[in-house]
Amino acid sequence: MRAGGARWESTVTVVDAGEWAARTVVVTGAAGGIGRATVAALLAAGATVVAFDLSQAALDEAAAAWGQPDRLRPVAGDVGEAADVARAFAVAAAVGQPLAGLVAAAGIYGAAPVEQMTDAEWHRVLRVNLRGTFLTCRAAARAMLPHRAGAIVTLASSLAFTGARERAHYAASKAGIAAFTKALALEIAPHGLRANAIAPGSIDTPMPRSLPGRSEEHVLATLRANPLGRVATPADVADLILFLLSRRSSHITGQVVAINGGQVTL
Amino acid sequence: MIDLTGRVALVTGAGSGIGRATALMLGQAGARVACVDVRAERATAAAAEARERGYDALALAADVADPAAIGAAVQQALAHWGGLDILVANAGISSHQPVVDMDEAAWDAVLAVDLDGVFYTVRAALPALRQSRHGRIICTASHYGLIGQAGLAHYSAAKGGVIGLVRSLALELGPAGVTVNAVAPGPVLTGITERTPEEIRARAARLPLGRLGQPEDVAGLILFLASDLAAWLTGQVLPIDGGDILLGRT
Repeated sequence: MRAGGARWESTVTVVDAGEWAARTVVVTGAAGGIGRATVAALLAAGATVVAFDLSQAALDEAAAAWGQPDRLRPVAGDVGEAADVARAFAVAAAVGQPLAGLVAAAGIYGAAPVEQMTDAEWHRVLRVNLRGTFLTCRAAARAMLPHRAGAIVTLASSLAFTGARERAHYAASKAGIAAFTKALALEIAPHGLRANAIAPGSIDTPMPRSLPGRSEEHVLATLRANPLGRVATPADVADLILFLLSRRSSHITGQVVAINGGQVTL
Repeated sequence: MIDLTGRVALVTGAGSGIGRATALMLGQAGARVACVDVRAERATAAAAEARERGYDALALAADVADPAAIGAAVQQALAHWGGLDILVANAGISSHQPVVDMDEAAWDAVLAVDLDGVFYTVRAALPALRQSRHGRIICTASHYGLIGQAGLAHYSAAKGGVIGLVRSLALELGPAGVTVNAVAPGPVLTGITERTPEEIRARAARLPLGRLGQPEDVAGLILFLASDLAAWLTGQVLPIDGGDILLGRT
């Protein structure tokens, strides 16, 4: 375990006992940091989880750690491809219980100043983060509408509010997700469905370590650079996501909820 | 108080609405203005109107969603005037569709112009703007990029994306002295939304200021951001919406 400690197991204190039994949730980016902890928390709470991720190998590895194979439906695919997204939601439908939630956590990252950013690099990030969120939210809303119940959580970022040097595509995609989620929430609210975005600051996941030339000391300093001064784990974020999916947040929709140790978001 | 004599500006979407009003107002303040529009005849008409009023203007036809085309337009403006000081990335389109009915083509079309187009435009102009002593980038977002709007999820996503892009650019370009800001207009009477007179009256009546915006209302804010008065203002998103954002939503 690295310094700071990755806590994959959620305490699940925000979920009512039995709330998630016989309910299905789709999680994209399921084998990544936040997605992986969210899947673990949902399985612990009793939900059936469609774990959607680009990498079959990563899903296999995560599935071994998650346990609960009876309630886990791993699907390998690309959130930027409508056909792959349709495949994941077909698996969710085949479970035979209403789709209760979507966690659109699939996201990628990259570094380049705008002047040197190629069209390909711009589109690589926008396609997965923003278009992928659109495609998965569209599929989830379509599945949930007939049941007049369901909650969607999308992944924005602190960087949507603060901008980011050399990650303008990432910040643009995340600010786009925030506004998209508000628009979606207004559309689905009359049907009893909710959508919220969360805006995490630096979280102890592989993502902040994925940029070239970042030492572990630098990453840890970044992770601690918040008023609370602690390193946030993926499980901290999963707790918020489960709350936003749960009945406890019945009157919360169209919001961007920051989880960043105390940074201002304006 | 605002004098842009000697400055060169390039405005995309200059053929109509906010872009056209902005091009004319920048011209009135003394700037030389490149009027870029996807429709050549509209670019020509806007530049002709500017010249009729005695301003120095150039018409350029380019689709901002085509990186080669907007790159060539920026190069033409540079070749004509030898520099660039003010970029107004304003071109935008919209359509109306709920997410559950929206096909990928509708999504991709709006994102290509409203978000990708801003990126291509800014990237093409950056080397010249860095050379300016008064570098300014102003992007037209929308208040829906902040608050979202039903039926406009793609447009909201694109305009929200512009806001994230603007904040990042402000960080990257601060050391070069280039300011980067966004305006976030509310309901403005432009060609982008079709409304009946009845809808216009009803929408206006709900606004705190009691009227819809005119393109000139937004152009005035862009002119301010382009001027020396706004030299210490960067990375901001300025809603300009007659107070619409204060209203509750149902």
